[in-house]
Amino acid sequence: MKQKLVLVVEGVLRIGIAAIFVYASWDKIQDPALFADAVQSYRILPPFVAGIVALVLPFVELLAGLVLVFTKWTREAALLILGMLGIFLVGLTQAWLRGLEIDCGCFGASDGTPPPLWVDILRDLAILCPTIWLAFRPGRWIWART
Amino acid sequence: MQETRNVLARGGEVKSSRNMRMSRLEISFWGWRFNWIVVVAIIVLAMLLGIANNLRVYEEQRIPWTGPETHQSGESETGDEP
Repeated sequence: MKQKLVLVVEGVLRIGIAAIFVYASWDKIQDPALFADAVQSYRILPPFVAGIVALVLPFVELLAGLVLVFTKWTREAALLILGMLGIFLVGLTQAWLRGLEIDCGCFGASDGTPPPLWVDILRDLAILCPTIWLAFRPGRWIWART
Repeated sequence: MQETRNVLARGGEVKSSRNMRMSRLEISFWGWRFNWIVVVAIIVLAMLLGIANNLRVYEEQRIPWTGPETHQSGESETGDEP
């Protein structure tokens, strides 16, 4: 019974997190130049590096999301998502502490007034917790597999 | 392998489990392991797709060579003088 529940929770989390990342990647893939502007607005990367990040990062999001749902490599996909969330949190937190009034750019260009950065930080923290569980949950360790 | 031989030499029993065996493509950190080739493959594929996407965007946004010249010469589409 407990195992079934864990499987259901894992399935829901995998689909939910993957959906967020695939959705987030779509607008950025359509307009990489706009996303490059968003990356540059954080003022931590030089323009050339920001351009490379804007080209590659959306595809890492897309592929990690697809791998998380459709393959057995849950840990590996969760690890990549964890890395991305870590980078996002560092970028958002430094921008918030520096008082930059910027659009997060997390889901492409937003319509109207962008929400404050602390909202984006809280959202990323909320996604971070289940991702940590997916990547490091018990039963994924060598000594638990006998 | 050497450890297995030592256990057998002492008359012990070696229990083998498919899950216990680590693939050459796996990395283990304090017992937590993952397949590094999957992570590398996703990143490399993302880089290739990013380059392809850049080329697509560049091709789509390229202005036709006749466009800017027509406007620069001052001709309008109706043929009237500006």
